Order: sequence, then structure tokens, then C-alpha cells
Amino acid sequence: MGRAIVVSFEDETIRVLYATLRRKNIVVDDALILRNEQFDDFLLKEKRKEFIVVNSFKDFFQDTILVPPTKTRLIKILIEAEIRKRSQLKDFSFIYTITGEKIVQQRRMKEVFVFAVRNEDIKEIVNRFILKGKVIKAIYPDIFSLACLIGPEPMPLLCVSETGLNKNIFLIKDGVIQFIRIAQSLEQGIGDVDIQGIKMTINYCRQTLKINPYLIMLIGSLCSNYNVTVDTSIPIACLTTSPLSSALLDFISPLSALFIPRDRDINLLTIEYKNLFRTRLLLRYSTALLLSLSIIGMGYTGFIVKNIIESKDRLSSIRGNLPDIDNTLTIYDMKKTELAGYMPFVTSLRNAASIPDIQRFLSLLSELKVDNIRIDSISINTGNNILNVELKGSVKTEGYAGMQMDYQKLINSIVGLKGASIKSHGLDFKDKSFHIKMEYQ
Amino acid sequence: MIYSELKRTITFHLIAGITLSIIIVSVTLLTKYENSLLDTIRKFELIRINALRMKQTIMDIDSVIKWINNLLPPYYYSKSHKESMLLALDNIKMTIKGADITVTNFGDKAGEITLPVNISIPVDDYAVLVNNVGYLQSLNFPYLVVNNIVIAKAGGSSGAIICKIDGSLRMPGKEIGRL
Repeated sequence: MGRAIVVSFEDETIRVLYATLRRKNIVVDDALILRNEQFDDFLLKEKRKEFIVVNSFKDFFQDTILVPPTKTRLIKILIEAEIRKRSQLKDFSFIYTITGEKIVQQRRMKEVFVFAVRNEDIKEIVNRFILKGKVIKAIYPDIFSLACLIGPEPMPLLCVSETGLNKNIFLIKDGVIQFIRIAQSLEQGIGDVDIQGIKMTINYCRQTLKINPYLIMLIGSLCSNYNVTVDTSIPIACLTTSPLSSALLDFISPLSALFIPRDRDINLLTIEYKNLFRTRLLLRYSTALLLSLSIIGMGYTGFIVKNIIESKDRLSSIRGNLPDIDNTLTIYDMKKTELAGYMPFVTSLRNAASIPDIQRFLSLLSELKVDNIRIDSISINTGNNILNVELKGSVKTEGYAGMQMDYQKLINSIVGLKGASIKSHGLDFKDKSFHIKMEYQ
Repeated sequence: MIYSELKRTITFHLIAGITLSIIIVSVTLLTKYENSLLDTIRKFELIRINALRMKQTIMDIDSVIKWINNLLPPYYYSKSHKESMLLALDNIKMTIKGADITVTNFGDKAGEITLPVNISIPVDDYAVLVNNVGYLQSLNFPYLVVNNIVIAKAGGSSGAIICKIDGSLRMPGKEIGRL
């Protein structure tokens, strides 16, 4: 939803329309009629900044020109050059509409209707607003603005509107203006004299433009001020159908500005002013972005500040719960020094503990199966965490097989000792003696 | 002249830009401060944990010292090291019946006082021998380092079994508990 103020300059009268634009509807909130000299005061008092302007240009250049088919960007340059050549205008803004195509000297050319206005005239209006700190979003010629009210009617229509005493007569075909004529009149409304002027325009259209209007369409206040006694050659109709109520007929010009489709480029604002508006829009978006980022940043700052407060509380709590570090360090150093004095004893104990348990090994030996075995000597040498043991003895069994069996039993029982491993062993059958070398750890 | 219209917009834009810049700088500084605080907290936590560990270590040291003091013989601080070692020899002789002990001279090795010793024990009962060896190994002040044990028949006509233990009695050269 957006609000708009449309100002329509119509001769010495200025009409102001306040409207609210909704998705599909336009609601007119208020309407004012001001005299030209009251307008500056109005601008001063009006709080809103942006305005749409509809102006009835008295001095303009119109023509239908032919341009070769080319890119849109180039067409604009060609048209501008053509206007400059034909109109003697130097600094101007223009609107153009491609009305059709024509074959000229076996070349396909585009027929373009152009409408140009001196920038000086536009700036005069614009500066009036700028001096009061206001901004013009768009400035439309009233005829083009009114033409937007009439849909893309395929049949040619001759439309007539009123600005002051002047009658604006313009021919529309397929929704595109083909020709404009400003006819001076003696009185407001439409009378027999105006009908004569209209008839002359119709004849011009038929003879020169080869277009035959099939209807005269009266727009705005002319509908309520119709004083014609003579016969017209073609039917006359009024643009009073819904949604326009009769009360708004006088404001049809500013109202029409609200019905201009977005794709219809009839804004006569100078490039300089359009750039200004674009720059301002860009700056506004940029400002909005910066402010949005600032808000996000502020939120994040708040989050960090909250974390900092929590961290500070936690730090205070940890500090409060810290033990007396100096005292602890002093005691620790003292105890460490004291312990150093006991280290020789600890080293001695460690050395003693590195010797394998001989008592346990001797106990294990008592578990050996020594049936028919006689152990003559046990020799134990201590190594680093290991005992090197040598057993010597003899087997008392008669017979080689029995001897071997009992010897093997001994070997097996040694192998079964936990921590013991045999390195070498041998049984001498000659004298029945044996020797076993083993390790225990 | 028309660009004067932009003044207000530009001013707002500048204000917004400056505001955002201030916020970015603030966020950066505050983030650094927050990180520094978190780092300090981590360090304080570490200090607290280390202090607790030190307290625990102090308690451990105390218990170790107490344990070592309990291991020391009651006469440790009243007699010399050599006296202590000879007393230990006497105790061995008294405990192991029939033991024949031969010693040579005191020595000093790696900060320890050593006394090479040969112990001959007649073996009447293997179980008694095992107990005697266990006793000798249980000595801890001084302690006995066994180099070699030979259990064999003695030479001669008696035919008795003898256990010969070759080793050394050792104890720290410095007085324990003093640097």
C-alpha cells in the first residue's frame, strides 16, 4: 500500500489529488483546486515530500518520423537527432511511441510518433518543487496520461479534453497517440465552435494521416459541459464509465496519472533529475542496508556484552575459589626439597626391587616333577630383572626309554613353570646325567 | 541546485555508515576482550587444577616420607652407616642358623656403601632354605644384592648340601632426609 499526491497544472488552475494505492484499487482520499499563486504556500505547508506531476504543456513539438529498424538504444539516439533537426529544439526531453511500419523506397521503416518539450519548461516546474524541498517522482504530459485511461482500442478514437479554455484533441489508435492538436476556444465546455474545430481535425486525420476516427471521446469536465446544437458527422461518447464517478470528472487529469502502466515510459523528467532520483533511491536502499546491518551488529554486540558479563562473573568466582597459590607453592617447594633428601633411599629400593624374586623361584622349583630324578646342583646368577639358572643332575631310571620319559617329564614341568623358559638342555645316556639352562623373570 | 535534495539522504547514509563502522569496531574490540577473558578463565582454571594437584602431591610426598621413615631402622640416625651394615650382618647370622658369613672391605659405588658378602648356609630342609633366601631378600636397609646362588653338595666326605650366596650388602652413602 502506498500513498501518492498528484499535482495537475491546468492553465491557471492547479488540481491536487491525494490517493492511496492498494493492490488492485485506488482510493481517493482528498482533492484540492488551487490557484497558481496559492501553490507555493501549499507546497510549504504540505508535509509529504514526493509528488507526481501532470502538466499541460502549451509549447511542445510533435511529429511522426520514420526511422530504420534498429536496436532500441539506437532508435532513441536516431529519434533525438531527428527531433533536433526538425524542431530547432536544443535542450529537450521527449516521449516516443512506435505507431507502425511503412515501406519507403523499398526499405522497411518504423513510424514513430514523437512528443518533445523544452527542458527549460520542465525545469521551471521541477525547480518550483525543489525550492520548497519537495521531490517530483514523475512528470507526465496530460494528454499521454489521459490516453492511458483508454485501453488498447483497435478502432481509432478522437479524444477531446479541456485545459482552461483550450481543447486538447488527440487521435488514439491501438492505445497509441497518433496526433495531437491544441485548439483554442472562447468558453469552457464544448460548443458548436469547438465541434467545428473537431470536424476540421477529423478531416485532417482522414486526408493526411489516412485514419478515419469512428468516435469522438469527450474526457473529463467536457462531459458535464456539453452545449452542442450542430450535428456531428461521427458519434460522440463520454469517458464517464466506472470506476470514475462524476464528482471526479474535474480531476480526471491528475487521476489518470495513477492509472499509468509501469511499462509505459511517458515520464518527461530530465536525465539529470532521473539520475538524482535513482541515486537517492540507491542511497536509501544502501542506508536501509547499513541500518539493518547496524541493528544486527547491535544485537550481536549485546550478545557479546552478555557473554562478557557472564565471563567476568565466572572469573570473579574462580578467583574467589582459588587456593593460596603462594603458600601452596612454598609448601610444595619445601616438600620437594625434603623428598630429594630421601631420593637415595628410593633409588636403593628401586635397585633392590629390580632383582627377581629368588625366593619365589626356589618355591617353584619344589613343584617340579622329579620322580627318579636327582638334582645335584642349582646355580642361579642374577641379571637385570632376570635369573639365569642352571640345573645339573642325573636320572635314576633304568632303561633308556624310562630315562628319557622321566627326563622329559622334568622338562615339561619346567616349561609349565610361570615365568620360566628353557634355553638349552641335554641328557647324557652314557652316565645318565643332564644339564638344563633356563631363564626366569 | 537539485543535488541539494540529496544532502539529507547523504547525511542519513553517512550517519548509518558511521554507526555501522562504530558497531563493527565495537564488535571487534568486544570479541577480542571476550576471547581474552575466556583465555584468562582457562588459565585460572589451569592454575586452580595445578594448585589442587600440588596439594595432592604435597600429601603424597608426606605419605612417602612417612613410609620411608617407618622403613628406617630405629638406630639409623644414631649409628654410622658401616655400623648399621655390620649390625645387619649380625642379624643375618643370628636369624639364619649355621650360616657362615665372609665379608671383605667396604666399598663405595654410585653413591652407595657396599659390603661384599659370601653366605654359606647348610641345607637340611629345602623349605627352610627358601625361607632364609626370602629373609635375605626382604632386607631393605641395608639391602642385599644377590649376584649368585649355588646349591650343591659340599666337597668332602660329609655329603652335606650347602647353599652359597654371593652378593653385597648396600645402603645409601648419604644420610637420608638430609641434602
